[in-house]
Amino acid sequence: MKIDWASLGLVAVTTVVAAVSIVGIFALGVAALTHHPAGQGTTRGSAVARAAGYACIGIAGLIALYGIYLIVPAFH
Amino acid sequence: MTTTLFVVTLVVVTALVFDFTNGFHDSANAMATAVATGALQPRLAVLIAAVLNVVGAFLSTEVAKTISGGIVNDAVVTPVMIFAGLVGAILWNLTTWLFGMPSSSSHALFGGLIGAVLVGAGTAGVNFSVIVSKIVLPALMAPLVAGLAAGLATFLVYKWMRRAEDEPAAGWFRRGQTVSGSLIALAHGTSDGQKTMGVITLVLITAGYQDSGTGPQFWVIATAGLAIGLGTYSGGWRIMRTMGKGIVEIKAPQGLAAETTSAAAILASSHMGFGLSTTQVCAGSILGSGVGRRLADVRWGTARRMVYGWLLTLPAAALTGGIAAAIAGTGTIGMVIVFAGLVAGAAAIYVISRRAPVSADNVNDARDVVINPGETASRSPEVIG
Repeated sequence: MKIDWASLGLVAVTTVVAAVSIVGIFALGVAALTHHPAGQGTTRGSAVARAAGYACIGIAGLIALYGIYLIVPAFH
Repeated sequence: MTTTLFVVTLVVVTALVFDFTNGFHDSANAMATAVATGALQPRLAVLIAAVLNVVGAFLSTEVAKTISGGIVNDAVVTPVMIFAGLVGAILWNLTTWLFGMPSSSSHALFGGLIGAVLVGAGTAGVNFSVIVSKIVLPALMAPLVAGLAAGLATFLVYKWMRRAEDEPAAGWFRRGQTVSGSLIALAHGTSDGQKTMGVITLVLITAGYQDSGTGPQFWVIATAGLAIGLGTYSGGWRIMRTMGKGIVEIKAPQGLAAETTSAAAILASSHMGFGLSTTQVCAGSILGSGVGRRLADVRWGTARRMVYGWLLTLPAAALTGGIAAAIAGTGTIGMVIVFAGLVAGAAAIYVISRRAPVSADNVNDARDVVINPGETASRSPEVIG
């Protein structure tokens, strides 16, 4: 019996790393967009946070597009 | 009508019925958590999933080289065996749906084929070692890998964000869920829609209606895509309830973690050559997202019943497929009897399901799927809340 342990391991590691990083990036973005520091948050600081937040969500969106690329066989 | 044409027609119809059951069985994989967290209204969720399933079916029409990926010896498989295998798979899919149990449609199809081939061609037609390496081992690994990944992801989100469940953060997570759920639906259409096309095309080639080595005809692509899409749109609300509410009470961040993990696992497994069952991946992710948030929240009784269902899928479908093959193998009359049995069995299961129906309107109202109304209290002593 031949069990392809190498590809099994690769699938397992890829799944864990991909899931944790994508969810992590997305959560980071959400945290940046929804975080309102108590007291007087400087306008400048919150603008930076908002930009960073949208950037994170954008990266997650690009990864989703890469997912579509992987799904559609015509692309590769 | 010649006998061959009759047999081919019967197999094609049965294959499309299987495709339909495949659709409503796997609707929950893509959309259960989005429905449970309110990211999408139930009817809208299944509409999106259905459309993406049909789109997926049209995108990927490269027919699989073998029906079973080497689990049975395709050289000995006849259209009658395929028919019997499909009957076994459909009846098992309907039975598990009645109990609201998510189970793998692919495993049901393999089981039905294995039973039919065992009866029709003996043990030489079945590659038992491939069953271990392609079904048993992936079935053990899928929930473990997906559960670990979703658990870690959920744990980290809750560690970093104290108010992940509150608005407006929850709204973002719900929007993210819509995207990851849609990816799962699209991937499902490309993989499972193509299975039925493969079965039908193979039967057409075997019967001499199509040249060997040619791809599926347009009507095959269209009907197979439509069948899986209609199945998905019909929702499989019983399974949707178990996946979305029965295993764990899902909050938006968990839903996002679970669906992202499922999408990642499905794409990784289909591109790295180690096929994992979509159903087992998705159930594992949901379970993992429960463990990652708070241990006591997971309803292990439901999880245990689900695992029993997975263990039973192959032998139960094989048994039904074997019986169907024994009867159908006697000739045209036998095939008619088996088809009549399939219709009667499906009707009986549908009638029983009407006693305590689950629909788009009440899918989120309870956590258990029961057979008789009023059974809820006695069936779920492990409800923690």
